[in-house]
Amino acid sequence: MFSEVDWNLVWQALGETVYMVVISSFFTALFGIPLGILLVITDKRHIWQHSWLRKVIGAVVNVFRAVPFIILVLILFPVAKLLVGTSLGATAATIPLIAGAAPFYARIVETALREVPWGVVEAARAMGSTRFGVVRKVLLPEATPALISGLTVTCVTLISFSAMAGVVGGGGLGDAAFRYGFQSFNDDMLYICGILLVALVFIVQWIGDGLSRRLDKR
Amino acid sequence: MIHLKGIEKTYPSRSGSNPVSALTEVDLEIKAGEIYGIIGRSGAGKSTLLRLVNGLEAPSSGEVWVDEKEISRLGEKDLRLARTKIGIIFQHFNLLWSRTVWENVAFSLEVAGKSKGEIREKVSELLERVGLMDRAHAYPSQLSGGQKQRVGIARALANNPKVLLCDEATSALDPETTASILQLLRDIHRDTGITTLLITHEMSVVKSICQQVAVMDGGRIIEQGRVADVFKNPTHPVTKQFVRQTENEEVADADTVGTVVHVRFRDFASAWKRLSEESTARGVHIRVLAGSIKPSEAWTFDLEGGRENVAQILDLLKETAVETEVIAGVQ
Repeated sequence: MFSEVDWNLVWQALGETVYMVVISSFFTALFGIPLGILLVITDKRHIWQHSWLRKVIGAVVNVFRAVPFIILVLILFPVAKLLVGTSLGATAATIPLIAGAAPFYARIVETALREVPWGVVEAARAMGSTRFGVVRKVLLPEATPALISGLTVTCVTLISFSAMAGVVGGGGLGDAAFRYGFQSFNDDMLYICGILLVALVFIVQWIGDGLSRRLDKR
Repeated sequence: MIHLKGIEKTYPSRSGSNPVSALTEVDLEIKAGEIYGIIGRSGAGKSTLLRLVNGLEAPSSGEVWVDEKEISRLGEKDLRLARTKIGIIFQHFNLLWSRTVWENVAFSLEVAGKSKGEIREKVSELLERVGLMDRAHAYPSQLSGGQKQRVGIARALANNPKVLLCDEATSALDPETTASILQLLRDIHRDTGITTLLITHEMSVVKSICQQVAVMDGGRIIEQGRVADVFKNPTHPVTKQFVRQTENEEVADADTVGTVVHVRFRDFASAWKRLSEESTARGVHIRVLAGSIKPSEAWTFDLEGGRENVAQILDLLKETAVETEVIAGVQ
C-alpha cells in the first residue's frame, strides 16, 4: 500500500501546510478579534456607540466574506508580492488566507461577545470600569471558550482554503495532491495528501474542543 | 447623601412621535446612614430611578446629587471615580463566571487601581465578612443563589463605598435565603452606617429592613415617609394594595380555619355590636387575626361556621363596612 508515495515530497508539503495554517491562524486572530470587538461595542447603546465606524467595518467584512475564496486568491497574489516580496509559495499564500478568514472570524467574535450577558457589562460600568477595562476584563475573558471554539472552526476552514491556495502556487498538501497526484496519475500521492489533511482537521478540532471545554466555567 | 431634584426622564419612542415618560416630578432626599426603600410594581420607574444614582442613566431634566457631587454633570473620569464609591448589587447577581469567588471580589478593586497586596488583604477581609472564605476558589456556577448574592455584596463593598444600591437584590431568592441576605445587609449597615437605597416589589423586604420608604407608580413617587407611618395610613390605592399584600402573606402564615375576610368599618363600635350578635345567633365563630382600635384601620377576621351562616355574616359585613374583601376560603 502507498508504494508509489514519495515520502520526502509529502513531508515537505505537510510542513508547508502546517506553516500556512499556523501563520494565517495567528494573523486571523490578530485582525479578527479587534474587528469583532469593534463590531460589538460600536453598536447602538453599547459602550462605544459609533454608527459610521460600525457601518464601514461591517461593509468591509461583508465584502471580503462574500468574495469566493478562489477569486480572493487570484486577486490577492499580486498584493502578496507587494507585502511579502513574492507571489509564489506558502508565505505568499498566507495573505489571501488571512484576508478570507479574518472577516469570517470577526463575525464569530462578534457573536461570541454578544453572548456575554449585558448585566455583567453594566455591573462593570457601575463599578467604575473604563471601556477598555470592560473589553479586557469582562467581554474577552467571559467569551474565551466561544472565541476558542470559533477559532477552531476558522482553523479548519483555513486548512481547506490552504489546499485550494496550494493549487494556484501556494505549495503544501493541496499543491502536492494536484501536481504529484492528480496530474502525474499517482493515486497513492493523491490519497495520502487527502488523508493527511483530514488528520490535520481532526487534530485541530480535538485540541480546540478540549481547550474550550477546560476554560468553560459556566 | 442622595438627593434627586425635580427629575424628569423621557425616552424617545420607537415611532418617534411621542416620547415615553419614565419618571415624572421625582423629588427624593436620602440622608446619610438611612436605609431607604423604594417599592413599586414592575414598570413603575424604580429601576430607572436607581440607575440615575450611579449615572448609568442621565435625567432628561433635574439634578442628581450623591455625596455632594452632581452625578449627571460629572465628566467621564470623575463619574468613574464616583462610581467606585457607589456599590451596587443586582437581582441576577451579574458575577463573572470565568472568575472565582475571590477573583470576582478582586474585580472591583482592580477597577479602582488597587495594588496586589491591598487587593489580597481586602478580599480576605470581605469574604470573611460575608461568610464565604471556604468557597474562595469556587466558580459562581458552583454556588447557590444566596452564596452568589453574598459574593455580589462583597464585591459591592470592596472600595468602602458611601452608598449601597440594591436592585431587587432578593427577588430571585427563596424566603429563607432572602431573610439571611437581609440580615447580612442589616449587619453591614449596623457596622458601617452605609447609606442604602433598595428597590423592590416586595413589601416584606421594605418592612423588615427599611426605615424610610417611597411608593412609586407610573413614574411618580405617590407616597413617602417613615415605613411605619406610610403603611399604617396608606392613602394611595397602590400603597393600600401593597399593605394588603403583606397582610395576606401574614394570613397565609397564620393557620386559618375558615373564611378570612378583610374589612374596614366606618363606625366600628356599632358594626361590631351587630356583628357579634348575629354571629352568636348563627353559631359563627369570629377570630380576629389583625386589627386596631383606631377606627380608620382595617381588620382581618377568620370566620368559622356553617357555610350558609358564614355567607350571611359576609352579607352583613358588606352592608356595614366601607370595604370588604374575602381573602381566603368561601367567597
